[in-house]
Amino acid sequence: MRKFIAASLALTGVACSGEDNPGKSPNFNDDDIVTISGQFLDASNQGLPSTSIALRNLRVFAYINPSQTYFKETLNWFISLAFPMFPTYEKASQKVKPNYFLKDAVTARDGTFRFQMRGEEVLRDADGGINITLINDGDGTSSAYAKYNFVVKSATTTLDPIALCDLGETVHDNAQTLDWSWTLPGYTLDHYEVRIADAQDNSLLWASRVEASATQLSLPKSIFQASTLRYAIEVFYRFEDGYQTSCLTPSRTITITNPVTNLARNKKAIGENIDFVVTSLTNGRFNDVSYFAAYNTKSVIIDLEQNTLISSINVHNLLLTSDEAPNELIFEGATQTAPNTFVSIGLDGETPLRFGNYQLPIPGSYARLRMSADHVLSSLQEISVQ
Amino acid sequence: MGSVLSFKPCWIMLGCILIGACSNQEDKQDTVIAVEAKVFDVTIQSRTPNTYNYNADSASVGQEDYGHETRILLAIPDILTLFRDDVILSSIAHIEIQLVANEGTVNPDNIQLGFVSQNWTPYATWNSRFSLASDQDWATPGGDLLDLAPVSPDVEKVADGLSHKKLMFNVTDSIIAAIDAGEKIQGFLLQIIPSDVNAGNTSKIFTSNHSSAYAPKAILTFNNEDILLP
Repeated sequence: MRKFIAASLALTGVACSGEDNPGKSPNFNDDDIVTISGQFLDASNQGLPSTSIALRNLRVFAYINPSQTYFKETLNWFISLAFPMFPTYEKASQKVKPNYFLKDAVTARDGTFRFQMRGEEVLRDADGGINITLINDGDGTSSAYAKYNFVVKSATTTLDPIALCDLGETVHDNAQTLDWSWTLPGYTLDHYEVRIADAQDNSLLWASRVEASATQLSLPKSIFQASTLRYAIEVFYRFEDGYQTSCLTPSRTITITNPVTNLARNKKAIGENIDFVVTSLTNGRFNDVSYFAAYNTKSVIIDLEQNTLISSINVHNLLLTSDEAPNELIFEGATQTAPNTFVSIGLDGETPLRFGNYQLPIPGSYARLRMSADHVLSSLQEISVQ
Repeated sequence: MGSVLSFKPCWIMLGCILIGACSNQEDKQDTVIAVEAKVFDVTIQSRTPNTYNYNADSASVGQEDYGHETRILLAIPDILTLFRDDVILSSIAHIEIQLVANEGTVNPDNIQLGFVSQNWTPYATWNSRFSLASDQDWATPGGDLLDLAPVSPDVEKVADGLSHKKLMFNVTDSIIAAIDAGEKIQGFLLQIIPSDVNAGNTSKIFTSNHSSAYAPKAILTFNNEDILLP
């Protein structure tokens, strides 16, 4: 602060240049109709009917250019100090609302869709581009689903067909598990990835890899604190040294009718080398907790407070700072009578997974659980227990 | 669709479909365009409620003995004047305020950055927004806040071998919410909420008078990955 107080008014702005957007759109009159149309196809290149899609005109933030305004802002600041008629510093022009909007549509029988906007509706970026994102599930906030991005180049935009696949997936809400199943597609594949999000905000709750030989997935219900889920399945095939997406299912929603309580919900945790009590591991908020790496933590203890019968431990969004061998997870338990004496619970050399469901070979009763890794944790979002 | 080759037309059509593994990964792929280091900050203390202090290199934010408390008022003008309609630079995906603490005894949930509702000056104190003049008191001693949920930080190590922690407050949604509500954020208020889950209820925070590496700053992340050529 004193540097600013002592500084003269010969202030220089800090350069702040954005990268140019790659596209610029033509100008439209307010009453002009901007039309965007296209077609969704299934994996057999047939029109995909009744698919909910959304059009998002990219959220555009107007941002003050520091090189043009810093002097004015700072001058106002000093004026507010120099003159008693405080306050003057706040006299700034009106801000505008963040700019974005969504339009929803459902594809016709042949998979086609059409959006129309008035010229005065469209929002532009700094370079005049009208950035459009099409989302296949009608929700513009998710990053977990297919998005098709383009810049409007004319009043009428006709897109090439967009391919999606329908695996006929179903999900059953059983007493203790959610069970997904789907049909085997007719083309080469290596594996599937099933992604499940909170339908309220589309925050990712879980992702499971399923090998090509299987067409089902079963997960403990305690993983999901949200009552309504949105899920989609992405299909991968091997291409050279990596994987390529072959298709993606339009996402669907399911409402859990009889949820199963996460036994670790709102319980406290302790982390190696962390001075404070960790409260974010089991709060069901599924935040992006990345601070573990800041404390060189390789292990965490969940305090269930009393002996509790458990059958599985679910680790959400675990990342380690290394994958060099040895690289295993060990889960141990301690009882209420000997809370610091951790013993094997049959999960002694588990493979660390970003989303890992670890079933105890024999359910047991424990008051504290400890997860230990060979490497420092760089992220751990949530632990649920069932 | 019996092979990769036969699927090729479909694969090509999907070439422009972006599929994010999860939002966290996507966020990290954004390009950081601007670092705003022009910061005004003032340390205010309930122990000396009428004394201004914009000279401190650091402040022990949080709860002191005998119920006294220290907070930091923070203003980043280029952030507080976002969203003007006269100068549009680009699309911002993420606005993050970074502070550096020299220790990590406080549960991050209890480190909170609130949003100040009234303007203030370098002569702000615990009691007043402008202590050189009369009748400029905060409605609530210690700073008036907007009705926005305070933000808690993600935490990272500043560097290997150092115990200092980088506190990263994502204020994007709060700023958007304020603008949606037609309210103006006049600054940020850093405070520490006492709790039995904290190993200690204070944290030493470096101010703008400290070295630039440890001084508060804002990171603007621009939304480039979402835009592709048609």
